Parts: sequence; structure tokens; C-alpha cells
Amino acid sequence: MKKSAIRQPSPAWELLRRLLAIDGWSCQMSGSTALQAKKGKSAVLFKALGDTANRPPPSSAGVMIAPDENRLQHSLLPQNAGKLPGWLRLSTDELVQLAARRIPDRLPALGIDPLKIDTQTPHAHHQWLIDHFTVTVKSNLPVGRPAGNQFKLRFQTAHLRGITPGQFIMLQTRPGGPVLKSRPFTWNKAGRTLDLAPKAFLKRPFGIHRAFFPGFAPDFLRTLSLPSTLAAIIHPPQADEYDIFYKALDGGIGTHELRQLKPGDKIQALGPLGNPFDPASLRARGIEEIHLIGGGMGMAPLTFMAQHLRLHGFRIKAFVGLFNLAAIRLSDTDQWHNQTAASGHLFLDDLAAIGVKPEDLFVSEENKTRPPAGLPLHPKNFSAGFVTRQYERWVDAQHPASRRAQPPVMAFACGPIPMMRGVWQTCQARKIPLKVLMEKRMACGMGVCFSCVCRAKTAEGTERYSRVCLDGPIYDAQNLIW
Amino acid sequence: MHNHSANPLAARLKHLTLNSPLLTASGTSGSCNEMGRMKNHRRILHALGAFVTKGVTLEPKRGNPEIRVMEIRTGLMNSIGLQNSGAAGFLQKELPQLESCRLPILVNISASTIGEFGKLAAYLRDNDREELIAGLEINVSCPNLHAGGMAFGVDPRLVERVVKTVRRHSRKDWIVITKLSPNVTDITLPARAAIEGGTDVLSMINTVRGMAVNIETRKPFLGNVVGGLSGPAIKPVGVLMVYQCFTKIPECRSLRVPIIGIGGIACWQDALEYILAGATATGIGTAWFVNPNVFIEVRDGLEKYLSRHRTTLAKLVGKACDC
Repeated sequence: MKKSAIRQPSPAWELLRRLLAIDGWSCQMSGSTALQAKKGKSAVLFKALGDTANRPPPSSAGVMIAPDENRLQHSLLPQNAGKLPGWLRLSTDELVQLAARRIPDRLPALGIDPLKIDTQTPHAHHQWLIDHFTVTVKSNLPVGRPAGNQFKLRFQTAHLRGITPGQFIMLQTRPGGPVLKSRPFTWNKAGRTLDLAPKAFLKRPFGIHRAFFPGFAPDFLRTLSLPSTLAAIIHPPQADEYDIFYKALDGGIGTHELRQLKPGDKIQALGPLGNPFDPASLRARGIEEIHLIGGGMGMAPLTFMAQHLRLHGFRIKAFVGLFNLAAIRLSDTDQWHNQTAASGHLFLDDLAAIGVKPEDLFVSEENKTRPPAGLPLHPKNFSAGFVTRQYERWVDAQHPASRRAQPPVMAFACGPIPMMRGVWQTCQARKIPLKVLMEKRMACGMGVCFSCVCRAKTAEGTERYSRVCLDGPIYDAQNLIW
Repeated sequence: MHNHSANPLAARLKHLTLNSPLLTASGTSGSCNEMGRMKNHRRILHALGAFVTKGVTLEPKRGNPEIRVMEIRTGLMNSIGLQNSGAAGFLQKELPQLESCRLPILVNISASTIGEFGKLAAYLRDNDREELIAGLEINVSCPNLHAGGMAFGVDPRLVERVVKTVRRHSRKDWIVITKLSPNVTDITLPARAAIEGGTDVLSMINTVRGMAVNIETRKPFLGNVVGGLSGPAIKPVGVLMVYQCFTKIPECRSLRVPIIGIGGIACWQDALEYILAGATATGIGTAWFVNPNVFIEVRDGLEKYLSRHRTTLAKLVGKACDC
């Protein structure tokens, strides 16, 4: 596109101005190709697509709006804009389409006639369908010092673009597809023996730990704060690399296979599975602050949750419960070590990069040690013992019994069942709505095998077995039987 | 010589002509359109000849406690316990969703007494959605309350009575399939009994009973102790049982009572083995958990094999029994 093609003020600016005004952001044109939006300390710069000469300062992040109304492009960054880390690209057309789906009641405020929108967009329907595809392993690094049985696997795929927190994928644990040939045994050429080692038969379910967005710095959320209406419209953002965090169980065939994976390996995957979660629905309920309470591995899906919540501008309080801090020390080869202000700990560095501030991050360690220097949290926020206790004490300090009206907060917990039960007791007594992320042994992941059940309440109050993959994995804690 | 326009994959189960010999195995594809959430569900449906639902009981069933499933080297053990929303829930909520599959729907039914089997069949018949159903598949592997929890399927006399009862309470144009349990010494005995009782089609095999022990807790692994084994591990068992019925029972050999071969099919070669051993159609279950494209791949594989050998599937039924 020629530069001259984008000069004239376009309806895009007007649309954007109205969109931001809903959340009380003020706008000012800076030049003819950029728009500066401000609210309090937050600032976002919007630029017309095509203006690559006028780059933003390296530390800032912004949103790019394409004034070309005929193009529909649903990716975070175009290939050729790789020089602009931290920019989100949307076309005006797409913005209108998304607004019509996500915030239909706000269309008049945007000056859009709902009747004039063609809702038959190409991406309107595929979003929640389950796909079967191949992902490429980028890295598979041990986590914990000394290196033990925990690993972080990063893989690349373009097929999970609609995945939201709480959803999960089923991963084949080795390259080369399932053991379904007529002759399942292979001749091991090196050893000249028949390879009779057990192979994982099923895929394994995994929640996403973190997503990485093409063209974006991994820590772009550290500084970016989006107006919530805009965030609601662009949710879910389109990532292409993902981390999962797993533990290779003693004698576990699947996770043992997983740890053998090397960069470049291609493995089969099924997803996204489970119910999607839209943070905008919390905003509609007047919720502004979210508490995330994770026990051990349970913090992984909550980290992905934090990423989405931050994009939507929620205040986050994250409570990380660990047996031992050393268990989440990252290996030297992990790229996170090269990040600014990184402490070399999984979860803690992730949350810091996502924009959870030191005063909002809490860690409790069962195996009491002196916390190492340089953790991205306030020293007072470190405690010995169970995370459930730490959370309870903190909640009581923040929302004392004298003000027992329901606070505008919501809690999410994920971890071992006794830990989630503890959080539920805390929340129940203090009228804090709690959602839990359940994990169960699965076979199909699609809702047909009825394996992954948990005990839930029916509408009539009786008990039933609920399929985690179909009804969950996110449940209202009050709908489960503890 | 033969009509080239005819579908070489067509399979006849009594008066029902299927476009493909592939069926879903009961309990592995849900009972409402769970498959519809797959991106490739249209291609999956195209590969299928009929849809067999998860087991339906008269009253809703809660199912067994955890743990319900475990993996073995080439298969799966499960003890789900027939969790389902009951006949009323099935008719109201699930069956209407299945209609969009545009496939013949075969409803798998379970009960703990003979009387209950009759009531269930009658309940499915006497409602305004019975036209959506093409037939019933009787699960005779479920425990019989009167016989102390022993399965109906192990006693040929009971099999005959169950089939007779269901046949009597079914619509005349429904096909009645009897799904036999492999947990017997001689499969031809319950098979003959089912034919005596008036079954239109036999399907075999259900899961093989097994057990696993958790060496860490030193307790049975599955919540229900006993589990049903499925997956590639049990395929040879199923192929033999189809072969035995086809060779020893004249009604099967003459195709008056066709056989649906089920058990461990994971690729087109497996399906063909069943057909050559005497099956007219085949069901795929556990493999679908592992490979969501399995129906499509099996259908394509069969189609290629048939065109390579210039034959039709119907001509291959029982070919391995010709000696």
C-alpha cells in the first residue's frame, strides 16, 4: 500500500474515538496518522496501518487500526510488520464485526447501525469447533533445581487461535501419531530387537500455561493497558506459541514420552476443548478485581488466565502456593533468564511479565526457606505454610468482617482438591464468588467417553457426575460437591 | 458384470441399506451430537453408515465412581457404569440433536430386568419421536438383578427371553440388534439364542472384562474394580467370535442374520479382517478417541482396496470362511 493512501481522516478514527469514550478515555490526534488515547496514567497509541516510518518508542505498546475498510484481517500482526513489536492490527471492518458480536448493546454508542452489519464473516463460526492438527515443538526444558521431573514444553501452532483460559488441548505424547497400525510393534534397528516398550495409547490433556503473540515482546502486557471495551472486542487475542507445564510422573508412560520430545518434533493435538471463558462477562457483572489462587502445577492455567485478564485491564492478585521454591527454578538455558528483572522462577517471572505488580503477587512455601533475593514480589508477600491460609489472612485484612457485603471481586482457584476445598471454605464464608478449574483423568476430551467426571449439583440440588471436558473445566465452586 | 454405479461400500442390515459399513460403537460417540463440535464432523458423518448411541436406560443412571478409565498398552479399560440421562431425557434432549446427523439412528438399550427391557422398548416406541429411530441394539452384557448381577449375556435362555421381549415391544420396522458379550466360553450359544428370540442382526463383541491394580495404593485401579477392555488389544478375540458365528450358524452364513463386527478396529485393514471373517458392517469405538480421523481414514482405505481389487464389500463378507 502506498503511504498516500492512508492520509485522509477515516471512519476508523471516529469509530475508535467513540469506542474509547465508552470507557472514559480521551483521544487526541497526533499528526494525521496516529491517535493518542489517555485515561489516568494509561496511554495507548493507535496508528494507521502502513506508517512504518514513525515507530513507537521501544518500551511502549499500542494498537494499530487499519483504515482500509475492505479488508478483513484477523491476526495480531502482519508478517511484514515484524519491526513493530507490540502492535495489534485490526481493520475497521473487523472492528465493527467483532463489536456486533461481543458488545451488541453498545452499537448505537459507536454510531453503527446493527442492521447494516453482515454477520456472515468467515471467522464467525469456526471459533469453538474442535480441530485435529499438528504442533511443532520449540523447546522442552526442565524446571526446578536440581532438575527433577518437571518440564516446560513450548510449541508452535496456528490452530489454537480461539483458545481461552480454562480450555485445554489433548496432545499426543510422541511424534509419529498413535499406535494404531495393524502391527503396532516396530523393529528397533540400532539394538536389533523388537521394540516392546509401552507406548502411550491415548492423548493427554493439558491446560495452557502461557501464550505468545507473534510480533509481540513476551512481556508486552507489563506496560500495556487496554481500554476494557476494546479488550472485550478483540478477545481472544491470536497467539501462535504456547507453553504447557507438566510433571513426568513416576512410571507414567505419557509424560515419560513427552520429556523425550526435542525441538522440531511434530506431534498431533486436538483442541481447543472445554468451555470458553470470556473475561468481558465479568466486567458486565461489575467485577474489577480478580484473585488467582494456584496450588503447585495448578498455577499454570491460572497464569494463562492472568494473561487474558490483564489484557482486559482487570486488577489481579495472584497467590502462588508451592511446596518448595526451588521446584520452579528455571534452567539456565531458558530464555527467561535474559529478560529484564527476571528472577529465574516459573510463574513468578511469567506473572511479572504479564504485568502483575510486586505488591499484587503472593507466594507461600510449605517447605519453609528464606526467599532468595530478586523475586518479583514484596518481601511481606512471602509466607511459610499453605497458600489457603495466606489467602484467608489476606482476604480478612482486605475485606474485614465489618464490611461483609459482597465485594466486587471474584476468585479463581486451581490445584489439588484439598487446596481448592480450603479456598472454597474461605470464599464461601466471605461471600466471594469462586470459580475452580478442574482436572480429571480423560480419555477422549470431547465429551463422549464419560471418564472425566466430578461430583456436581443439579439444578434441583441432587448430585450428579458432571463431565469436566464438556461442562467444565471451569466450574462455579458452589455447583460442585466438596 | 456388476453395476458400476452402485456403492461398493453399501452394507445391508435387513431392510436397512447403509451407505458405509462403518458404525459408531455404542458408548464411544455420545448420545447427542457431541461429534458436531468437531471441525471435520461433516466428513466424519459422510464416512459413517449409521449412528449407534451410548447406552440408554429407562431411568437416568448416575454411573460409577471414579476412577473410570485407564490406559493399557494397546487399549483402554473403562467402568463408566452406563451414565445416561434416561429414556425420557434421551428422547427430549438428545435424540432431536442427533437428527441433524442425517444417519440411521440405532439406540443402544440396557436394563437390569427383562421386564424393564420391555418397558424401555415400549417407551421408545410410544412417543412422537419414534420415527427418528431406525432400530435398537440390545446390550445383554449389563448385569441382571435377578441373577445376582451376572450378565444376561452369559445365559443363552435369558438372552432369548430378552430379545423376544424387546422384539415384541418394538416397532415392526425397527431392526433389533443383539450385542453379544465375549465373556463366554462359546459365543455361538448366546448367538443362536438371540436368533431364536428373533433378533434381526447380531453385533459382537462388547468389552472384555478385566482388572488393574494400582501398585502405589495397592488397591484396584478402577472405582468399580471390574472394567471393560477395549481397543486394538481385543481385535483378535472379536474376529474369532465373528468367524465362529459365521461358520457355525447357518442363519449368519446365509446373511439372514447379518453380523456387525466390533472390537479393536483402528485402521481399514482391521475392518476388512472383520468383514472377511463374516461381518457385514463394522463398529469403531476406542480408536476414535485416539484418532479423530479414523472413520474417514477407514472408509477411504476400504474404498481404495475395493477399487484395487474391483469388487464390492458385500462380496467379501465371510471370504475367510470359504475353506
